[in-house]
Amino acid sequence: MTDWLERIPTHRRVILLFWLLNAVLVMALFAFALRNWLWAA
Amino acid sequence: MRPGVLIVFYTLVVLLPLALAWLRVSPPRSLLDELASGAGLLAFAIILVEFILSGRFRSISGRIGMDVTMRFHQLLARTALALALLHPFLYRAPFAAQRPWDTSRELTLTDEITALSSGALAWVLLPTFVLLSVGRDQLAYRYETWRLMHGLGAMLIAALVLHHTLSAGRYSQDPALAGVWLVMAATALLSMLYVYMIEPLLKLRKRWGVVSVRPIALKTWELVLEPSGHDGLAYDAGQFVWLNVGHSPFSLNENPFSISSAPASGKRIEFVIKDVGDFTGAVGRIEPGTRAYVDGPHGNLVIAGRTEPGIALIAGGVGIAPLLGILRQLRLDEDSRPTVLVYGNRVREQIAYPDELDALARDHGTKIIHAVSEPPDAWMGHVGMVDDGMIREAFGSPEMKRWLYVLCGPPVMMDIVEDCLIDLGVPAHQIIAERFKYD
Repeated sequence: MTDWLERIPTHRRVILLFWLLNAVLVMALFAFALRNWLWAA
Repeated sequence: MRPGVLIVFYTLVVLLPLALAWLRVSPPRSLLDELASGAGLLAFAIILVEFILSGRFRSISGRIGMDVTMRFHQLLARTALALALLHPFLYRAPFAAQRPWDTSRELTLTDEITALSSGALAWVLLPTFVLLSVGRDQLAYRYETWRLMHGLGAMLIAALVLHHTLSAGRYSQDPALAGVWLVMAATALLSMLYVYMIEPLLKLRKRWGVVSVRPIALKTWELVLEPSGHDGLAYDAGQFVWLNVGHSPFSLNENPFSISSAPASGKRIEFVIKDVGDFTGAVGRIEPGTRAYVDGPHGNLVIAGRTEPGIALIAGGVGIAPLLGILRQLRLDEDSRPTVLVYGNRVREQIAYPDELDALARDHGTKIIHAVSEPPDAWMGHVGMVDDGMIREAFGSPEMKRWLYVLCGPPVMMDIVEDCLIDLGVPAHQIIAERFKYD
């Protein structure tokens, strides 16, 4: 495990992971909605 | 399965319906219409996976911890709620009957009342359900009532959304996606059946009996169980079980309690239970011989196999229960590593097993540091809560950075202690914790 991750307590790590997951879901949602434009590009 | 793999797996499962919708070749609609459909697909996928994140499956909670599992369950419910609330407002296409030439429903949304009403009802129920869950401590209903409402409410919402998705969803008309929804919904239903039907059936063959109940501190009881005709429970010191005393194994009257005994002490298991109302308010009236059932062991507050050169146990109130199990196991194993227990209580009378703790200090060399926030006149120990200053004083020496830290107590104490230990240079993987509450 990298040093910077070892400096994050578990209760903060869960929140960080939650927001990272939300970011992935939102990106996937927009990628889905924009797919016709993305394919065209 | 490693925690990272579990998280990647979770993400893939939640994204699967969206990916299948992506693959379906349909004429394009407006960005907002596509966002509306996508938000609906994501929200429903999250809702269905929430059933598996209920904390009762050891294959998940045993790897990433019960705290983390439950916290994720709660946090992701908020994500699902946000997506679900947005879902109907993003649509721009009109509600109208399907036009014969528009087979892919590019131009209209369904106007069938049953397909829309199931979605509308779920849309109203979901925020109510999430708000009741988030505020359950403030609303102060009985734990059993809460569990019944939560289980039935979740199944009702999932059934309504499934109906809405399969009857109104544009992308869910695709057989592959409809099949995925049915498999995910069936898995969610099976998870409920497993927890509320199959597990209780299995428990019928593993009855326990109450051996004794006695007060050990102010409003705190020791409950001892012994197995009835079976080999008992294979557990590690520090784990907890869902305990049902005096009810049918199918009853919702079961609560999580840490085991305070050590596995090496025999087949009997002990609990330290603080009277905080509900079941715990009646624990003193439990008669020896009363039938009991346990579901477990759960939890990852386990030090077996850990090789750190010292062990620090930090407890707040009844959080001492699992740490007692660990202390007792260390003593029975004749573990020679230095051990420190920091134990915080409001008043001295709340200190559980003071004589046993004194004996541990005397015979096993365990250093015991008490903190009492409302001390008696002659109190010589630390005054106040378990706080930053106390942790720095107790664990500030450089060699203690390599120790293992085991935490159990109220969330505020845990956050303070964890932040302080990290600040002292203790790596996060050397801190294991379990909370009483998850929100």
